Amino acid sequence: MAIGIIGYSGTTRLDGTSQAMQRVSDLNAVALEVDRDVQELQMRAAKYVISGHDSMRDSVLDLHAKLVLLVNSSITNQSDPEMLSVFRKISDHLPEYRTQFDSAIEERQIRTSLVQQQLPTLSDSIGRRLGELEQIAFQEKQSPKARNALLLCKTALSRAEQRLLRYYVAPDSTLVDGALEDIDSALTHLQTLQEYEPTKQLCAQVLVDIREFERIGMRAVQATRGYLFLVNVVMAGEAAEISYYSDRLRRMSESRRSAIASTVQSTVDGVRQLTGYGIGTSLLLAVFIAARLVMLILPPIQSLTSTFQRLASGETVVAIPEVERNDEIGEMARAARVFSDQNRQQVQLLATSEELGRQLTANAENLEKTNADLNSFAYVASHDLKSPLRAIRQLASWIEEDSGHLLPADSLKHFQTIEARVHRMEMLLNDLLQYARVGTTESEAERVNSATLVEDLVGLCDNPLRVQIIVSGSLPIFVTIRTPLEQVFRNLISNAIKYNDKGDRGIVQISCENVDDSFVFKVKDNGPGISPQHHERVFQMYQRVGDTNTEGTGMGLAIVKKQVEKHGGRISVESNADAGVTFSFSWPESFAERVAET
Amino acid sequence: MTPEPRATILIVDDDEVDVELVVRGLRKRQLSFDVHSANDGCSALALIRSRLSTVFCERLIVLLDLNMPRMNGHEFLSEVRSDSALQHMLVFVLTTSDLKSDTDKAYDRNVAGYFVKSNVNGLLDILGPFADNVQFPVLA
Repeated sequence: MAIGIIGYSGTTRLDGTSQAMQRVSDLNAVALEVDRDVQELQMRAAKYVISGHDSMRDSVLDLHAKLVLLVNSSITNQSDPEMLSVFRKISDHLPEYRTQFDSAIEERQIRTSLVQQQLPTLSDSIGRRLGELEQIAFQEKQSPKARNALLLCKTALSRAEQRLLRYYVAPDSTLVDGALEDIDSALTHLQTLQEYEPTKQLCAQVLVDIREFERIGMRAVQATRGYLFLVNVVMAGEAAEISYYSDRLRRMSESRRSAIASTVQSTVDGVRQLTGYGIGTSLLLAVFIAARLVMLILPPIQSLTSTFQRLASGETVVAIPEVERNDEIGEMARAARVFSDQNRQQVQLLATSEELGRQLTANAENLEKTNADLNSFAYVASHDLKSPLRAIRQLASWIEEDSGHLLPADSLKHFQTIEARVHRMEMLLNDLLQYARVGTTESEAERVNSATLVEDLVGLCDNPLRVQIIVSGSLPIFVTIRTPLEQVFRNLISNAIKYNDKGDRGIVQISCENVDDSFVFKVKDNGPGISPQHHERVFQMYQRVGDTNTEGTGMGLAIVKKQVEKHGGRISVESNADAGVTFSFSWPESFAERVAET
Repeated sequence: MTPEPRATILIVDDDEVDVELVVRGLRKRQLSFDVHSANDGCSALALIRSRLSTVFCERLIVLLDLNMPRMNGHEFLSEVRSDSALQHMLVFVLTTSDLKSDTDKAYDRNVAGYFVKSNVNGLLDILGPFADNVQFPVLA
């Protein structure tokens, strides 16, 4: 804006000076025109006096009038007193010039009439009279002297006329002198003819004519000299005066112009300087404003950027800078706050999930410890409990062996009972051991043909009543861990056979269907069935719901359930419509995939 | 004069009943072994070392239990295999444990066979023919 003001004031000043400059340049043009017109005027005047044409005279008058107009208008427009006085002087000389030119015109017109009308008339008259004289002299047979004088007179006159005419074309005073001598000579010769009577009177008339010719010729010379003097001396003087003043005007306008030019230069310099200052100031101002802006924007942006970086790295920033601002930075800051709130929630969620994770880990550790305890218990059971049991059984059998024949029948029966109970205790311990070991002793997955697996198991099962075992449909071949599957089938099939009450009409039906990613195996029997109220209980440890006379520990189905669930499956039991129950258990189709998932 | 015993059997077991079980089993099969027993690894080692270069060690078969106080079966095997005099000794494991870890560990120490006590008869059935046909190592 400062630059604008400087520029405006500069241009205003320049405008003023340029107007002054315009005036000066106008003045200069006027001065030049005056000078040129005066020269032209003088030239035209000279041409006029030579030719005497009216058109030439008119052109001089026109130009003079125009010049008068120009000077008068300049006087009206001029405010500079110095200039005005000069114009006034020019104006003073112009009427004088006109007056002189008018005189010159008069002289010129006189000369024209003299030379073009009076002189030729006289010349003709003289020539006619001289011709008469000649005729008379010829008729009168005058003396040769007279005829000679007449001839000489004629010649002299003719020469005088020629000289005068030449003078009028190109004024040269010697020609006038010569003409006057010729006229005198002609007059002298004519006087000799006067002596003769017949020509005396005629001669006198010619004499008068010649004298008149001389007078008019001289008057024409005088007029010529007059207008030439007027034009070449008086008017030229006036023109010179006017030229001088116009030249003065030019010089004045020149000095004015240079004054203005220097003013303009100083103005330009001033403007330039001021503009320089202005630009400098503007630059400083711009730098200052930029710095202010930078200070205003950059630190908040920087702090916001670092805030965002902290937020991006998941930190929760409690104090978000610049939130109270009403500009874009404020908006960014508020966005950061949303970000931060989300981070805080995330952090809380993370903390919660970490806490849960810790609890899970702790639980898992506890569970592992429990498992370890159970394993060590299983080991203790397998060795430390079984050994004394086996020892008791051995010792009882040895007493029977060694001293059986000495004991009464009751005692022998008691020994048998001891052995039976010890055997049962051993079975319970074995099953407990199996149950405890489910999932702790894993072997490699292998390709298992479940059909042959079932077939082999059926072959090994104790089946005294010849219960029929039927495999309906095909059983799959797939990759899994053999032992647990084998144990599940063994326990289910042996249960189905063991508890069947239909003798050789007993049927155990084994089938398989594919559901989702699992095989669902079914072991269906037509045995006594299980009351629905006991369906849950059958899978619990040491729970027996079947015929208690049948040998069993109540652990078989508990082991089955544990194995199935350990391998990602489910087991259930349901009563058949007609008779018996169906145990269904699912087993993952691909063991490898399950391992990969967990 | 009693006939030359077929071999010396050393039962290393802390359970007297189990020792008795083997003794009775051998007697029942009328196998004329020179039967000895030690109730842990330490006393077994002491006994063997005291009888080195005697008839006792010429045809020696050790029946080793694993779970014993003081020096258990694994420690005993480890000691035997690192002793240049005893390293080739014939040892059968007879234990209640059917754990894979135990069998692996035992076979690592080059036992002649691993039997669980519930199958003691299986061991006793082969012991006669085994002793009659096997080429005994020299312990010295």
